[in-house]
Amino acid sequence: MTDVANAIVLLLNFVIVPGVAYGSQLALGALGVTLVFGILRFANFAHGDVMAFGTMVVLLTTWWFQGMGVGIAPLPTALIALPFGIAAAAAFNLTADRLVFRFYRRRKSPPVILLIASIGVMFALQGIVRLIIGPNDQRLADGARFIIKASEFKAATGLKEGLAIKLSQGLTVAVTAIAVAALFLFLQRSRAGKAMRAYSDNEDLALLSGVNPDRVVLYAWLIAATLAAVAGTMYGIDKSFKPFTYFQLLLPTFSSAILGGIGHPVGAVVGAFIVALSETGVTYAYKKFLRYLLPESWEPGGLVQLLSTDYKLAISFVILVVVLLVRPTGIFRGRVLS
Amino acid sequence: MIRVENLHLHFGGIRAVDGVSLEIEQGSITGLIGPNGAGKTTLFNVIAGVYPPSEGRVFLQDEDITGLGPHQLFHRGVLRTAHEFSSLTVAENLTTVPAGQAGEELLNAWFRRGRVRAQEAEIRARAADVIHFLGLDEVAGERAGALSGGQKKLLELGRTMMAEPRIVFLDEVGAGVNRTLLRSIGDAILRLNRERGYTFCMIEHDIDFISRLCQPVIVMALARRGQVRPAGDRLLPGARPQTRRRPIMSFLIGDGMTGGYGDADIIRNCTIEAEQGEIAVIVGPNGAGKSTAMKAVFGMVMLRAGAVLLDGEDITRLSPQERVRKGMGFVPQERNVFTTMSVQENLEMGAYIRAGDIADPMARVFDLFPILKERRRQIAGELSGGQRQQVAIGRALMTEPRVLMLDEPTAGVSPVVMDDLFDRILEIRATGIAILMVEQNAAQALSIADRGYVLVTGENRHTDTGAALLADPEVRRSFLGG
Repeated sequence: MTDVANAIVLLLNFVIVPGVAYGSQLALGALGVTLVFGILRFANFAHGDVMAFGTMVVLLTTWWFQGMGVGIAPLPTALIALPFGIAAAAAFNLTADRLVFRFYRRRKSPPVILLIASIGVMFALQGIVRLIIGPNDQRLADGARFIIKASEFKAATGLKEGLAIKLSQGLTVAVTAIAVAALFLFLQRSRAGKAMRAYSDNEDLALLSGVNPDRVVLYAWLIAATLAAVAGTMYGIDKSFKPFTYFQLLLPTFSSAILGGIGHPVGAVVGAFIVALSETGVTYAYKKFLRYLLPESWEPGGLVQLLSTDYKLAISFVILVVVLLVRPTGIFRGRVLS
Repeated sequence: MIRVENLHLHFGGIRAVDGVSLEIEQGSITGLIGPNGAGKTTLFNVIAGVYPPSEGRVFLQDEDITGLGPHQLFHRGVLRTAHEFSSLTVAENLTTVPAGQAGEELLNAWFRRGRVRAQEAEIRARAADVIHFLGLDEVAGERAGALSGGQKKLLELGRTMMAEPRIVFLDEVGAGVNRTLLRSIGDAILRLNRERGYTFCMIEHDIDFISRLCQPVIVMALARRGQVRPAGDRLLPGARPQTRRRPIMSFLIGDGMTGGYGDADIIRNCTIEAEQGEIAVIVGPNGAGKSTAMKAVFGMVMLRAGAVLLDGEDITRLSPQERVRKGMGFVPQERNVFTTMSVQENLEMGAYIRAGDIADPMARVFDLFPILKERRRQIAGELSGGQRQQVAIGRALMTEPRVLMLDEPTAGVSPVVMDDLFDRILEIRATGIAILMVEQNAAQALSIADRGYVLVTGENRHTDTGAALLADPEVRRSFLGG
């Protein structure tokens, strides 16, 4: 019986807890992508780097606060720096829209053109971020490290395996829950949120109903920027901040949005958790887990790891390809990317 | 050939199909009729694999095909008509149908050119045969999006022919199609059935059409008990009797309008007027520019000449949105509801430009369409065609417009629902709103019209009261089928 408990704790500690935290970060990113797609009808490749940009501003502000000795220990200082990051990301999105996207939108360019323009914006933004803060790894987390420490857990339960929950993981899940709940309330209840859904559903009819398209587009960029800055900061606190990693997050983010059905907010959240848990689940070495459950003579010789962690990104890619082949509309029947 | 046993489908709490059993004989043309909301289209979708049934089984010649997807059924020769690819030409629409073309594989396309070409030539020949069979020769090179409604229907039929099906499901091929074209579609179906042995199962609202083609005819009853309409005075509350004297100039005038979407003028020197408390109807053959004329009044068409006046004010330069604020309500023919939003949210969106309380207009819409009140939490995309049309009209009424414009409000609804919709439109007229509508069902529409416009090739051909047009022998002969 303790073997089973040990096995479960092991799985929780190495697969479920990190997977859920990572899934929350992806969910915030995927929601941003899906919202921009629903309203502006193109896949915004710059989203990953907007996350990096927002996080960079959070990081700079955090250093400034730390220098002044301002903090909210045991919580990470980055949390009070977050509004600055959100504002910076929002300013960036609005500037990019004014300088680039609006031009193509007014010309009613096909989505592919906007998508390619967004790749250009992405490269420009990558340059900006590297100019300001450089390409290196930076630590964003301070304050307390753990909510539950492995050693405390072992002492409390008497199990051989420990369960550690980092403060950053708990924070990520809590912040995501608040952000998602606020977003859904906004979309379902508020007048502006309903206008956004209507615009996403049937643009012509929304215009006939008097919805102001500029206003809807503005909201979409602001919300996407907020979600990007929050997602980036949470990822940075949980792991670390490195611009290139944020660019790499683009693939799992898009896979999540498309898996859930792009343009569909609930789908983005569900998709994100599926992608995240697949990543942690497939790259985990199950040897120790199986040793607890199987008779001794069955003990596996290898690591029982389906894929090396080096191939983490390949998992999102495989999910993406399979979804596009089998069910291009995604789980919740979103739109088909074109 | 197809046997359906005790089929159920539930959407949430709504029973869309409730225990249907039926059989379709090989070589028959089976007709499916019934009131709106009986679940006819849903039944089609279940048989054609679009939705898996909640309960029950479907057999194709003793093979259990329950729950197979549309593409799997396609390979078994079970086809449901689908919309055309609007960006491809008519010929391309047909040549892309046959599955498993050798050219689909890159290796074949590169290394086995001969075989690919031979197959493509054969497919092109078949497409040419189909185009000829359906009399679409003249438009073979046109993009499908540019076809008239009737030609699109023929193209739908053509796409199914290319797949060499065993059984074809036709969902309201006659909807929105005039008499003459309906006859040629009917002829095509009969010839396919007799000469090429196709089995058909069709949903149709036109009883003449059904009785000419179909043997046997299956009648579906309402999946749920029908709605009992409230008796008594069904005027909109708040209706004001019109005391205004008839002005010299009409309330809404589209005067001498010439224009179109691109370089070609679709309407030429076309004049349309509507008066408050009256119904004006635009009728005419397919491709006459009826919808274009109405869209021109609403500012959705580039006008090269002419003017639009609302209550004496020149609104020619205003955008459609600005015209909505001026008191014009427009119900498009297609995509006229927010399918992912609830009925109530649809109505709320209709009143989006109104600041403040919308309880009053919403109560009025619910009085006009009681079924919407009952369904107000349901997603509009799940409603039947007739109910959706009610949502669409209700949405446009939420701004309390002075002019209501309807583009073919009865396209694709059953005669019963059509009569009902016309009744409601008469009630809306009684509130003093000016109504302008384009209608395919010319005779019925003219019978309720205070004035009618017969358009031919974008020009006014006849203009008179509805009754006078109905009595005019020339109008009867040319446009009303005798």
